[in-house]
Amino acid sequence: MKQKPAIVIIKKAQGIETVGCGCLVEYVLCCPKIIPKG
Amino acid sequence: MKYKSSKYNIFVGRNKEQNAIIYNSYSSALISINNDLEQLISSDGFSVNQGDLDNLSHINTLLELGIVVDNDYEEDIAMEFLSMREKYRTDKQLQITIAPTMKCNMICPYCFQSENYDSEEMEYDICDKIVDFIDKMVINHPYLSVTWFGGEPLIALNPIEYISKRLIDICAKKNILYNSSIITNGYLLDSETAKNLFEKCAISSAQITLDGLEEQHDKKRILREGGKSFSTIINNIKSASDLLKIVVRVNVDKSNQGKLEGLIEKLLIDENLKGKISIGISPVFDFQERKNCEYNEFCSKNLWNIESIVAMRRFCEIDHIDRFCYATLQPSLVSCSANIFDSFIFDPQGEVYKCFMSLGKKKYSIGNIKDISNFERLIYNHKHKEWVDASPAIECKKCVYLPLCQSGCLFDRMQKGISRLCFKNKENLISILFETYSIFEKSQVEE
Repeated sequence: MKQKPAIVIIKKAQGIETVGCGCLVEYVLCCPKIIPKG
Repeated sequence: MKYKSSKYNIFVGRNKEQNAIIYNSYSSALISINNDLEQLISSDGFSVNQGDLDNLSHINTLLELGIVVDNDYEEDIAMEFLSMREKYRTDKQLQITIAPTMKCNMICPYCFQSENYDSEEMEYDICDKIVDFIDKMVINHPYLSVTWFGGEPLIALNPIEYISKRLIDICAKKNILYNSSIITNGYLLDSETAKNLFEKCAISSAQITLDGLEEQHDKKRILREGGKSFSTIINNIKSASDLLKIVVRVNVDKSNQGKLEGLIEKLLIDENLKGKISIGISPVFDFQERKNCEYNEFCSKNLWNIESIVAMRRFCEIDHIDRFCYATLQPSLVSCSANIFDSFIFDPQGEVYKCFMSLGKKKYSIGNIKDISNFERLIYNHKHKEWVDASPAIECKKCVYLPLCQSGCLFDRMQKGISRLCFKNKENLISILFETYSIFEKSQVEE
């Protein structure tokens, strides 16, 4: 039986980016500038 | 060499093999690790025997992922430095947003701009002032990013075309990359308009809102002059998606509860838009806590927790997870673009703002471009400084959620006169991360 790897990467580390609005999901009534990276 | 686990690691849960699923809120890496490795990295100052090649290799991987850091690395101090630098970087884009009009052809009940419907289209002298401002500010930046916003920007195509042409020329002469997008309700984005935006204005992407299937959408996205908009917008998305990168935004509230799966199926399967568009969902929370607001269908936290998972699951059954947008998972070194020096928003009268939400609220303007003969007076003033200076509250600096939250929405904090708004929806973050893991696991089995 194939042994499972010790680490499984689901999502790699990404460079931290600042585009658009960071306040999107928590507080906003219709904040328009969402989903900067689409 | 000694190591420790990153202080930004969030424990998400365990998979079927009881392996830990870990998310790092700074690097945004999501992994699962076996029990031996979990045990090894759980104590501060752990080390690995040089002869233990397997574990050395694992630790190198975890270092790259940001899950493990050097034992003496002060992550919170590093983040403070990086945040300060981020605010004043010129090696990234100059970020400009322009609202050529505040008028809108829709009267959506939840809109935060309802007091601004009667403003005029941007006049050419204001357009010229904005272009002159950008011409000076863009020096040293590798690229210029322009977002068209409103009101409904497609009502005011003339200023868009005029400013775009001038900015494209300036960027070409200065050897600067030009990148432009538009936030629109999509009703006027017919194929000819999309072609014009793409060819003449170098607009490459559009965010368009659909608030449910036809019935729910047409009740909520109400045309000012009456009539329905859903089928027109769908047709426009289909034709525009050949030229523009389209992000469909869905505002989630009580009115479209349980309908997101249907909308996703309609777009991706019935309309054959799989692989051609992205979908981003966002809850309609009561941002302004308006006491006399007639709109009463705000999304509750529970509703959002259910709907976001259902939508994500269904989307990923049909299309790739990369095209599903969930903004909370995006770490940032600053609160938002309002917190960055080189980011400006212009309204049709030339008022300059930092935050989208404050657009049209003159109290929050940092100046008016037509009154300023010297641009330095516009950017080096105390109002601008207040936005750029703002930092996370001291209480937040040790928080594992800091890279995702940065003490909350800057505008909301300013309005309420408070230093922080705690990251409220931690359960939803954990659920979304666990779902992301499950989707990944399922895809592995299918392969």
